[in-house]
Amino acid sequence: MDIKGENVEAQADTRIPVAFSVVSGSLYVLLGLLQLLAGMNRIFIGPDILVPLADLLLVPADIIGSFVLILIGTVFIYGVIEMRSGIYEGVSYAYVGILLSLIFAIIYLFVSTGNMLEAYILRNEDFAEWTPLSDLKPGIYLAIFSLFAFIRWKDMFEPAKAKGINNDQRNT
Amino acid sequence: MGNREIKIALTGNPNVGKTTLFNALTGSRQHVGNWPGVTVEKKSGRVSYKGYDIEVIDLPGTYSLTAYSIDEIVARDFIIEEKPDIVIQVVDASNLERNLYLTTQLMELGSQLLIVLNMCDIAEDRGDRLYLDKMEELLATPVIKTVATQKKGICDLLDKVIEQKELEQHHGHEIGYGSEIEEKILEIEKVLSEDEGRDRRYPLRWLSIRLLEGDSNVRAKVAKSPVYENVMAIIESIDQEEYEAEIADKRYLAINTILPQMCTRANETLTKSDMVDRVLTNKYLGIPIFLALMWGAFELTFAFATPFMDMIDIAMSWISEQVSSSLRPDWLASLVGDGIIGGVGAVLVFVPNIFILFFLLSLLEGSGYLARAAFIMDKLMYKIGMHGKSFIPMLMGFGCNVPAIMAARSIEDEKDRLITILVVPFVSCGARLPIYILFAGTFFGRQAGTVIFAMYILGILIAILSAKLLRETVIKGKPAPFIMELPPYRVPTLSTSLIHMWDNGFMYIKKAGTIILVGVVIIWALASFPWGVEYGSEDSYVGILGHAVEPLLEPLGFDWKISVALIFGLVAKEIVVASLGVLYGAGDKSEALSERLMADPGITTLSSLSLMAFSLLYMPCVATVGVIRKETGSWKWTIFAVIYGIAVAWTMAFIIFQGGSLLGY
Ligand SMILES: Nc1nc2c(ncn2[C@@H]2O[C@H](COP(=O)(O)OP(=O)(O)O)[C@@H](O)[C@H]2O)c(=O)[nH]1
Ligand SMILES: [Mg+2]
Repeated sequence: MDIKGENVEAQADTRIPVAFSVVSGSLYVLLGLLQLLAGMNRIFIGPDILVPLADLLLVPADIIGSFVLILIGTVFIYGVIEMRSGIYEGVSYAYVGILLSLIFAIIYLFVSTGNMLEAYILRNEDFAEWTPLSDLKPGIYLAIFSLFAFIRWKDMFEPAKAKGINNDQRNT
Repeated sequence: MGNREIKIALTGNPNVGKTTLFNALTGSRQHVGNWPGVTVEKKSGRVSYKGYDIEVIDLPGTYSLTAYSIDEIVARDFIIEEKPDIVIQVVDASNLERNLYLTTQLMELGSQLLIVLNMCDIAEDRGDRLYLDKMEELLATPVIKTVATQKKGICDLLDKVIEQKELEQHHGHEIGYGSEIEEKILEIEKVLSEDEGRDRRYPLRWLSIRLLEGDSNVRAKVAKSPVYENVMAIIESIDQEEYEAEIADKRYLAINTILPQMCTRANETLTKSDMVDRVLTNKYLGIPIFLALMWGAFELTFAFATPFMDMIDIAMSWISEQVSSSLRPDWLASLVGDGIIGGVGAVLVFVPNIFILFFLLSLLEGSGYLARAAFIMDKLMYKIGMHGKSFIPMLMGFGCNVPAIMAARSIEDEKDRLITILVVPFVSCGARLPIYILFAGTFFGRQAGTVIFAMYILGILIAILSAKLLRETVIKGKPAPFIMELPPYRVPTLSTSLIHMWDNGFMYIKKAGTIILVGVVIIWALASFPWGVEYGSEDSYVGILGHAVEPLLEPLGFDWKISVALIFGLVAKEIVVASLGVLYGAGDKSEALSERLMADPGITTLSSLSLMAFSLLYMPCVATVGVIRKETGSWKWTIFAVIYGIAVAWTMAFIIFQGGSLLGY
């Protein structure tokens, strides 16, 4: 980082958001790609041949869902690029990445609640084999990191800047 | 003591909380949206307070009163011609400089002004300071602080209104425009005052300033005056554009001098709103994020509602079974069981989806996100030949096309507005959702959410492409430039969203009990007669009707039953589902409609897709046609909209069905 005279203090520290975004971003992109692969595999090859790891990581064969994961990952990575080039506002991407991952996790949880009602209350045959684990997927479990970051946002991400009233004396 | 009736008008920039304040004052529930241009017509309500009967009028939001768009004219004419006792300008306290321009113009209108500083919560949370007494002094108007969402300051406001009313007299401030312009103003005032028969509601100074600014609406107003020639002589002697610019400059100068004395802003920090905007309006990420969120919304609309739909479905089947086994004579059992419960029930099954859809739309709108979506799309829209503002009516169309078409009034340019009105009906409204859910749910299983999302996108794409086509053929020209203010993000209030959801959901239920009920009975009758035919068979009247149009629709993959449903769906799109409920109603009552559709060899996965696209596009419902006629004021364009819609729908469905068949689906 280049340090220019008085700017030393103005330059806010972005190490924590960068580190967080790198980890979160790459996880989202990687799992997104894996899910894309699983989805393509299902369409073009068939459900018999499994993509390695997909089962273990609870990755469903869902192409649109994979785009969502990749998108969230991209938002994080985009922020990393901005922050690395010295633009403090790049933390915005970490913030929005966190929000997006939470929003989609909430959507998935609601969908899953709907499925649960089908399986346990209405006893719909289509959901006979449904267990709470069937709906657990990267979109949900990756958001746990985001939830943590969201709660601790103030301490972790915000630079300690002086707050207050500007030019107070000027007008009174 | 004088008259105990007071008439007050609420004006102000768009999105400053006028409607929220109106609702807080009058206890009504007008639609509040976090984007500019929601209130396009004036609404009025009443409140009794301390023995006074106060009429409140909510005017459309405007940035100025320069008559560039219909809503500006509505607001201005109202203030001048109806002479409300007090004109209240609602001001966004967190964004004063944007709001004061309108104040400068209102001061010239000569009405008694009162300023309401709304959204004080936001300003104060941020650490801004507002000096009320200074403001009252500089603007020479009373100033009241409110937080409309929390109903704070409402009583203060009403007290002040009464106080002002009792005051009778008022003395306002005006902007000085410098000696050269002032001289011309006086000159025109003098000429105008020579006309004894003039409309005295219009302040002379205001008329003169507007004439100098080249206001064609005002010019038309004085055109019949005997002194018109003399006035025009003065105006032609000056460089009108230069005057116009100078007048605006002077107003801004005045604002910039008084503003720092009235408030101090807190240190600018990177707010959460700024952060979110930076990403959501990003060149590359903005549109994908928009699409992803829309997809999420439809996924939720479909998947979360399914168990609730199933519950209603089970209840409906049960009732229908009870009815057909206990009601006598048989024809009555059939009318109630197959007709009313089968048809209306088929529509009611989708109530959970409708509720969820409207709740989510209201969250997206209330948070300020949909306004961003319009902003993101602006560039793309401009390239296509559409005005960026047109995207707002389009997004509003997701709920219902009727208010969406009315919202096009906020578009200044007549051509831009016409194009918007003509393409909004392609945007998929709530009434079309049941059709998608029924068919996508039946034929696409777990992919249903995605298919429904695709239909919404198809609607927007067709709307945008049609706009381009219209621009290049019948409505030539360039769209006007677009200045859009981004409202700040707000955590949407749960109560607003719930009210929005309830009002719209209830409207759907009401429709099911009225127009759809009537439609269903008619279809049932047509399906049962002539006397003696098998119910809903090809020999019944519906069968004959269906077979008559079938040749036209056969290339799209529709059989006669679907054809009948589509014909009746012209009235309201929910009837498509209702008529299928009636037509597939006979037989074993325990089966859900979707199972019967599945069992019918006449409908395949491909034809269901073609049907969804056709229902999306084919013709706006009767209410929408009515509002198109009203808003365009022309039968020619109304008929055009109908025929164009049918042509597009037919072509699209033909491509899907024939193309799909060729590909072997
Ligand atoms: N925080 C805050 N938000 C407000 C206040 N008044 C209105 N709003 C919000 O501002 C947005 C616009 O309100 P609306 O009444 O539709 O504005 P209009 O266009 O001027 O009629 C809505 O999201 C309201 O919930 C207020 O006093 N404080
Ligand atoms: Mg409003």
